[in-house]
Amino acid sequence: MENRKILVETRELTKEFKTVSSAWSKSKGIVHAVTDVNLQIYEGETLGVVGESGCGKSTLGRLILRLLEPTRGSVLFDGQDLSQLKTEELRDMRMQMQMVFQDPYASLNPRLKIRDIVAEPLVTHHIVKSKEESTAIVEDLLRKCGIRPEFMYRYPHQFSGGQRQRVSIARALALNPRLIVCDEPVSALDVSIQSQILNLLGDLQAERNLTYIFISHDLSVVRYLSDRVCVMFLGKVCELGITREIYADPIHPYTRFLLDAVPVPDPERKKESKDMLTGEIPSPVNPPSGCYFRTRCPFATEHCAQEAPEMREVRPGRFVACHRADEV
Amino acid sequence: MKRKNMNHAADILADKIADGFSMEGTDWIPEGATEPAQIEEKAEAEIAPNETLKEQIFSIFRHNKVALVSAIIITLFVIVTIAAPLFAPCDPYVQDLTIRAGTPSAQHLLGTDQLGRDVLSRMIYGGRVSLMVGLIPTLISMAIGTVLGLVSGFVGGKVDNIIMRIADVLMAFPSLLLAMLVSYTLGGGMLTIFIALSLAGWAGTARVVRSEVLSLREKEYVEAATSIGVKRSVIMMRHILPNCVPTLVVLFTMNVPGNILTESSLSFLGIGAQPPDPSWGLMVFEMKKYLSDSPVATLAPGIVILILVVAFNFLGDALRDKLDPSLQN
Amino acid sequence: MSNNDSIFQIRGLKTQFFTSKGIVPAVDGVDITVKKGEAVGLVGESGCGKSMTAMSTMQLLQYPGRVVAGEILLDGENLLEKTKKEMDEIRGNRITMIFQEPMTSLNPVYTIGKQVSEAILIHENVSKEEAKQRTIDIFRKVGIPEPEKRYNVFPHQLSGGLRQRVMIGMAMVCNPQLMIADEPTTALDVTIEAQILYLMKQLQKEQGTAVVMITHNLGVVAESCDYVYVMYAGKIMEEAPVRELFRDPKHPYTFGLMNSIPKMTEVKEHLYTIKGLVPNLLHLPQGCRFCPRCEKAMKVCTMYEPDLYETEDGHKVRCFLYNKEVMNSGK
Repeated sequence: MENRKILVETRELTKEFKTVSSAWSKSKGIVHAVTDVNLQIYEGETLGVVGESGCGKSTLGRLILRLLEPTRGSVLFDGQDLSQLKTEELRDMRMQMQMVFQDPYASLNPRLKIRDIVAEPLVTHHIVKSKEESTAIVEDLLRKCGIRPEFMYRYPHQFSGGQRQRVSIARALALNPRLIVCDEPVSALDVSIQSQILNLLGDLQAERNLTYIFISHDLSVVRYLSDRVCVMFLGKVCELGITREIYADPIHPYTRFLLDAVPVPDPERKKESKDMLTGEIPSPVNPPSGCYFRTRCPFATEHCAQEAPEMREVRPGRFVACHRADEV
Repeated sequence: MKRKNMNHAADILADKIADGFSMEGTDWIPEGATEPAQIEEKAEAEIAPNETLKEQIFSIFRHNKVALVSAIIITLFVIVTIAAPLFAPCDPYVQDLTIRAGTPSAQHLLGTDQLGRDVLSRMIYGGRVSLMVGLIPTLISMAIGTVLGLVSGFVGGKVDNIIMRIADVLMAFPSLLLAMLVSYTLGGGMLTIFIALSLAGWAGTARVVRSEVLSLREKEYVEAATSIGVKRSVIMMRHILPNCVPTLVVLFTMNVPGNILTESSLSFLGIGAQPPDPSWGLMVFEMKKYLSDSPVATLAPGIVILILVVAFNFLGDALRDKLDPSLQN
Repeated sequence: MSNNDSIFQIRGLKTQFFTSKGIVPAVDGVDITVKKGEAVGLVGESGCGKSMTAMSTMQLLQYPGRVVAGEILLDGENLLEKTKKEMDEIRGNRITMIFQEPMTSLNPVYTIGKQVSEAILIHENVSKEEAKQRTIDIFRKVGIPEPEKRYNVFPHQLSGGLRQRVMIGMAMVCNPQLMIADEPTTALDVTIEAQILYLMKQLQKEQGTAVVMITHNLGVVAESCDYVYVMYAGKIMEEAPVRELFRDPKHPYTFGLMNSIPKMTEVKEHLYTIKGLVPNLLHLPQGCRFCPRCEKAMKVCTMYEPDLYETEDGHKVRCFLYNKEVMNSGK
């Protein structure tokens, strides 16, 4: 692992949103969407980012692509600090990193033909000289993603969700990027279509040595596609490690509950009473002191309320942010 | 096997099998019967074909008879007024004081006005005024409004604030009053009306476009374009503006009758078209004293205004439903 | 199967949508039996007609949808013959429904306490104070913390999980005979989902309510149902007791569904996929409706529609592979 090249690195990446204050309420809140995230993503791997809604996983993806400006911290792509780049340089940099969005209905402009949607990155970065050239490339991309090129003069609304997601992937591939951030790419799709898209993503990665940041709330999907997993809770990373190991032996209490909560399609393994997390997710506007998870954690102690746990490497390649990682 | 439970098709099938209906062994491939590629093709072939604009418009009228009637009315109105000399039975300016405020007759189908002029001919010529007032100031005001709305919504901040506050002030002013104000300052006549309506109309468009832009700006495809590295100006023209078009079309079909009405009101008040030029509003104004003498001649221009305005509104609704691709299926 | 212990039955239900492009057979001859206190799963992908089956039952179909054939029997009474008024009496009282997005089914301008006690007052002849007390009791039962305080809270002030608890409370407060849950946990996070599923099971056991669980999530079905129906393009493709179905999915569609979801425990190089797309209900293929996507399609499948065939181990499968006559004649 150590010899592999680091493609993306985040350093104390933090994003805070100010809640809008109205004329009547003066109380200005700060939403801690992402707090002090340090990640290293290696070239050619898939890093799964899991967590429940509001845990900041989508924000993290957008911060890495600099679709959002971080409040603090920095993102290094291939050694270059993205926040130091000028507008033009950033635009060039975008050729190397792309995104696939969650909602295949909203991520394609309904007024453009499929051909123009997929060709947009090529035109934007002046990669093609002529219309014929771009058409040829688009044909090739669509074929690769499982859409028959004849359909490229159709509009998005004529396609099904799965097909649109294929178009979205074709667009992301157009510039031959090194990194693709997939933000819940299959959660809007039906089960039978989901597996088609997951297979496609897997095949493309093998073929092009792509690096994926795969954001999802579906733990089984992440299990299938990721090499490493990063579990997030309320804007902080609580556990990071190799997928197989984390799923087999979760250390952080939150990871344990999360994995245990997933409904398993196997009635034989149905447990009568699960260990279940009680309570709701705390508000990111007023997170608890110390460890954010302590209010729901059965192992919480005084110490957890006073001091926020740092990420520690408890085993080689396994990082956990919990004071009691060694005991529980 | 309980034969009773089988449905009709299965019955036939069972009978055929019993009859020795030959289903050759080669046909009975229980595994991998169809090549996966073929299946993919079959499934994808179900994608709806592209509808051309012509087909789209045709399908509106096929499914929506009200829209069809509205479109026919508007088309007739445009043709008749443009080719007014061909359709008008008489000269609209020729007076015949012997038949003042006359009731309909063979020669004057809708009767005559207070100076004995043929009402039908005057209405046909007067339509030109309505047509011009309906189209030109609407287009100008909407062009201004669209540009300002786009800028306001996309740039935001101070620019947005300034534009929107000006719009607020304009909206707070009754547009009729504003038009009257302009007319009094610049003197009456058609040019004044054009200027007044263009100035008064943009604020509404700007507000609608701005709110549209604000919601479109958050769409994932705009974010996708940003992540690709598309320039902001290109995003605005390519991804945001075209998606405002359905709204603009509806707004247009609402503004046209609105302006026609305002012109009629202004003419009725004597600030718009000046006599002896014919204008529907002016005609109603001039004839109002003769309502009991010649009701047809007095009411006809008003009724035509009503029909036209309603037709525009219906057509606008139908167009909006069809032009927004996301509303389809 | 004896009818004595069945509380709810759908027989040959056909629901169609009369659109300008043609008649859409959203539900095309569905038979479902729910026994007393049983949880039945109705699984399928979007557009397979599972929600439409529920809406037909509740008679909440929107224009241009209409039930054109079939019977819906609640405790032996055919709901389709009821008048509007009688249905209002049954809905929310004897049959209740939980929706995917609780926010849309709760009225945002009334407090949650008021809405639940209103439901009691409509269906039962009790005093206001009693209704309030029962509302607070049910809130406590569905695990809403500080129920007295929350009585006066508006829906938007609650989290998604709590809102769904309110919905469940509202659905259970009148001790219904049947509860239909349409994707009750799809909009929720996994840890909350587990809580809600557990709660539903608890209440179901306590009150003996029969449940129809409509979902696309096979995990949810496996955890919460006793008997499962698999729907595809408006028809039941396979039905079996839950353990049987998961142990040995017989219909190629069921098999495909189960194998196309990634497992938590093992990782395969490639996921199994069902090729192609769900058919357009306006242009259903001739023969079996799954045939164009089926790996095991035979010639007969392209010509005739299969029936539900019963197998030895208690499945009912709509596939010619399980029709002995067809299979024997092929050999």
